[in-house]
Amino acid sequence: MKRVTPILVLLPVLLLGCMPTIDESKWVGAETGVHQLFAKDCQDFVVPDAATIKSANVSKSYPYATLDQVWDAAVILLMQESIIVHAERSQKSGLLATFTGPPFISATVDMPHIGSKKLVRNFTYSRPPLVALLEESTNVVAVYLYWMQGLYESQTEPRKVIVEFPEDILEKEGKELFDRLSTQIYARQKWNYLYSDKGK
Amino acid sequence: MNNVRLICCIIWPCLFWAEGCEPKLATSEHPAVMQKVFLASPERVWQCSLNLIQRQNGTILMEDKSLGLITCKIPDSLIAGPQSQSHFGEGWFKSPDWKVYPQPYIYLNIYIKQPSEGGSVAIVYAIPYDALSDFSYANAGPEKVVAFKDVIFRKNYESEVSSMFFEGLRTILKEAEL
Repeated sequence: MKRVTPILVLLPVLLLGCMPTIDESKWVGAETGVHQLFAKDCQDFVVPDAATIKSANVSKSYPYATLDQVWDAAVILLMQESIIVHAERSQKSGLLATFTGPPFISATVDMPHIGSKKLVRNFTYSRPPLVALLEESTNVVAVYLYWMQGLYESQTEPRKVIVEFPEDILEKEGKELFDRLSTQIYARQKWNYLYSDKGK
Repeated sequence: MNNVRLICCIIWPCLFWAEGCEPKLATSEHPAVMQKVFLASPERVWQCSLNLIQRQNGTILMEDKSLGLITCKIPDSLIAGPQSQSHFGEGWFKSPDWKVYPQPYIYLNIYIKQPSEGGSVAIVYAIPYDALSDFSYANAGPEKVVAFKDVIFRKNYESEVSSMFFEGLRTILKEAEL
């Protein structure tokens, strides 16, 4: 007990002492298209055409599923990841455009109880706004993803990229999104017994 | 041995803090708590949702009635109560150094759909997205950035917002019945 007491006494003190104070923060890349869209509640969001979306070569096909099923799954999934700023449907295709948070925020954190050093922490969001194109053909629905990285280019200096997302991260994000979409689409068929309204 | 423990006492809180400061991305769990079934037609639920957003001084970013989709932002102090105290954690945030700021907005995705069986029933998904709220803190200036901790640390915020939206929707639907 004697050994534990100093810990119990010191712990709250240290916890309080280590409590940081954020004294400065800034949005990195404030002059990008993402920033401007945010300021205007995404009113000027320009959705790329189908050829541009497909040119990114990020796609996956979902067999034995209808467009309605894939649409429903995509809407529910993307709603958890972002806000939906554009949506359109036709009989054989659908398009969803989403907007995410800032890619990168840096904050300077003052921690006076650890040698008065300033610690810079970066809060990183892993993916840019995304457009998903859904196309139905015989017994297959193809989903194409397009990361809108162009929104991180400087608005004042053409072709200058302010924030760049590493390709491997986007590749991983895309794969995860496709996997989760797959789960969302097929879960009920595979694990119907898990649902309270079985068979519906 | 005691020295080792004392060092652990110093390092552990720092690690704890560093871990806690990782950004909390939007939830990836199945949104079961963010989904409710209403015994009213999707059209009626749609209209009442718009009324609710209007009452909360919300701004609609996108709406498409045929698809049942609404995206909006709602002043968070209204939806979560004054000063947004309800979703504060215990202990960490009681320090006077950490001022309390109401969160400017919470972004909300709403999806209203009719079940395949049809009928006067609407399945409603109300899923908040708060990473954009971080964005609004950052744009609000350094003094508002303190509120980062709200977003980072609170645990059940998304489901709280969904519940409040559903509660408001239920009230408006009842009002419409009377």
